[in-house]
Amino acid sequence: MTLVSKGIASRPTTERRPGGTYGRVARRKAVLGAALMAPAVLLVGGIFIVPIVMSIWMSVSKWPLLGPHHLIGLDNYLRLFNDASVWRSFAFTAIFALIVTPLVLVLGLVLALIVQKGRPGIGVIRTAIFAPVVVGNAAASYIWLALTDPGAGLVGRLLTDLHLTGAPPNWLLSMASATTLVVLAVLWKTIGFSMIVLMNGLNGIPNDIVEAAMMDGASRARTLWSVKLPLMMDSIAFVATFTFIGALLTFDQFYIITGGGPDSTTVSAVYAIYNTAFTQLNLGYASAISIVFMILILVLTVFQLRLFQSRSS
Amino acid sequence: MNLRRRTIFSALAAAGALTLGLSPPTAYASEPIALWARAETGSFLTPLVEAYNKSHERQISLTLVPDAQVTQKYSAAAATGSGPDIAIIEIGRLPQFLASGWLQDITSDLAGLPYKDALSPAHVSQGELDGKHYALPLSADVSVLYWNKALFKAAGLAPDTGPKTWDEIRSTAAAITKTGNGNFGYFFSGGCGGCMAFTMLPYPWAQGAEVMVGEKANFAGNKALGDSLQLYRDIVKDGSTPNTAQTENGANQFGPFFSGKIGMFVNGTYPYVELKKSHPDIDFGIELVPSKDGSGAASFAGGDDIAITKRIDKATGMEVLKWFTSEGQQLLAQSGVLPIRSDIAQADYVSLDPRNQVFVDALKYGHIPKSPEVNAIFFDNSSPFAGLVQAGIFGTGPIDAALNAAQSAADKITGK
Repeated sequence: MTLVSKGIASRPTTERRPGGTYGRVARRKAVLGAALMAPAVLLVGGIFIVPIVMSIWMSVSKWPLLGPHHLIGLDNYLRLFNDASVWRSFAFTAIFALIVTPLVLVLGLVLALIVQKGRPGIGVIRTAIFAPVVVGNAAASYIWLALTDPGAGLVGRLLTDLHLTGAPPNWLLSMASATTLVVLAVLWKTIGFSMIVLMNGLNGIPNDIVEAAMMDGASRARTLWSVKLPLMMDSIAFVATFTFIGALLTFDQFYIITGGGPDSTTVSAVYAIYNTAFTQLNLGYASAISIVFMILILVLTVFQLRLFQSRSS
Repeated sequence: MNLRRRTIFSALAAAGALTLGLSPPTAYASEPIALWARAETGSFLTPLVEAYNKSHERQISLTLVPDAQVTQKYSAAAATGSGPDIAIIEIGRLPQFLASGWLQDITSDLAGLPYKDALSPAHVSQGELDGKHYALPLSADVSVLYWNKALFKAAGLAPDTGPKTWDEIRSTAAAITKTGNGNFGYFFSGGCGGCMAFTMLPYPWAQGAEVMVGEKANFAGNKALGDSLQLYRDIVKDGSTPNTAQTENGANQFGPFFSGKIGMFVNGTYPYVELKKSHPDIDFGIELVPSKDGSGAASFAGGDDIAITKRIDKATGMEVLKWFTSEGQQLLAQSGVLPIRSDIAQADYVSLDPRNQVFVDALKYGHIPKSPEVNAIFFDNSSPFAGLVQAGIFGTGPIDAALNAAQSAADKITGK
């Protein structure tokens, strides 16, 4: 009773004195909060906001790699909308991402199902599949370029020795085979990562739910389709989004393996941006392409996440 | 306490401002001279810098910039005035730096050099803008026609004489291919814009044509260039090249000739040194790339120029440049590297091997397309010229249409 009456007695006092003890505490908390947030705000601002604002500024400027720059309004954007080579690179990149993403998901899931259960030697298999993930993109691309070289590559030799082809195939001779080669290189490089993430998703499903489905007579395929996949939708969404964005941003593989050829048919969007900035030395136009491409990726990613959200619910 | 803190802060701020704002932009006399070059030059430049440092008190600190980063790093340095005191720049890229104000005008110093007339004319021209010179030649790589004498003999041809006309090149390539055993008459890197500029452009140049006129590419209606593409198309049609020629992107441009299975290819000084060192079993000859009827010849003059940036005083910079173009060239010649001075080449380089004379002559006939946009128009693998090579040599449509398409693509770049 005494405590209550003390509390009641003290409350009106602080309300009447907003600048008193409580006000000072609140202000200190606010300052402390701002101070604790400052590094994150500076980091986000420095790494994301400033470069984007800078890119927007450059995209409305005539900005050569060397020499003075000046504002030109929307000229770069108008040029972009009439530039068939840029849209060709966007379309090619989208097709590439639409091929790679389902392949990574399906093959990653198959591998995850194979290596999920602990069996003798399974650790070695998991490690072998995951190992390419830690190889750098450039190194991996050069490995694939050397392996598939029609003159000295092991792949060509193997195919001819097995009498599957009459001569070592020249993968870079057509757009389709050059793209296939890059798809294989990307699968080799990324499949281990999706396998690990999807395996975690599978391991996170409670056993009793799976057992209940089996006891109700559901086949393995039915259990996978109707029970496991819906319950691991977060992992699937993560792999799909991560792979899709990664595929849209592919550069190294095309730069090193195909060089954009044959006849510039395998120039990805980022490759086109790189060429515009560092071959044509036109940073302003490259920034305009980057901004439009960034917006397209944002729209596609939001659409993709919405799709997974609706499936999940 | 607050006052003391404020005083310390003010002192630190003042010191920072002084450091940032008032420090001289030029290098201090006691500091080493910062020299930048592309990594590809490291093999001959490193010993050259070591020799310079042995004979000079003020040392040179050499930074080799990875080839893929040269444009970005040099451009950043040029834009901000930072970077090296002396820059060694690949001559194809040099024109894009001339108007930036990064390099010092050395026109009068060049005019005063007693050996100015012996310097490679293509290299000197690349360092010139509006009558002012900003760079001196440093290293050269010129393209010549190689032939494999053993394969010539196997095909019943005179092994010591290379083909003198385009018709001879085509018929020789076909004859060598007929010997079988995986042999082909001719090889080129069709998937590499820079390689094709280096190895194919000597053909139209030997005809007296130009591929750049002023600021513009000269593709549409260029008969000599069209004829050169036709020669290559015919060679491909005859089956005288391996099918890798269409896609070879520069990574393996020497390998086929080094394997001893290729009769002819056009290339520079690197395979010459490498063949003698690592493939002594391959007996080869070299000659200038001939014109259609053999009455003329030409070469692509590549390599590097050396220039002084505004970070260092010109007297010190010129001392370095003079050493690299005199004692430095003698050291290069004596070690079997083609010098950029004809007088030193005749005295110290030709005597090492009579074939060296071909490279010295090639320097005289050396051309290079001069434009700040040369990389985008010619050298990049997705350039208009690279597209022209694919359509003109491997396509089935009219070559004139390919030339027109390349002209239109190049005009978009030069007109940006």
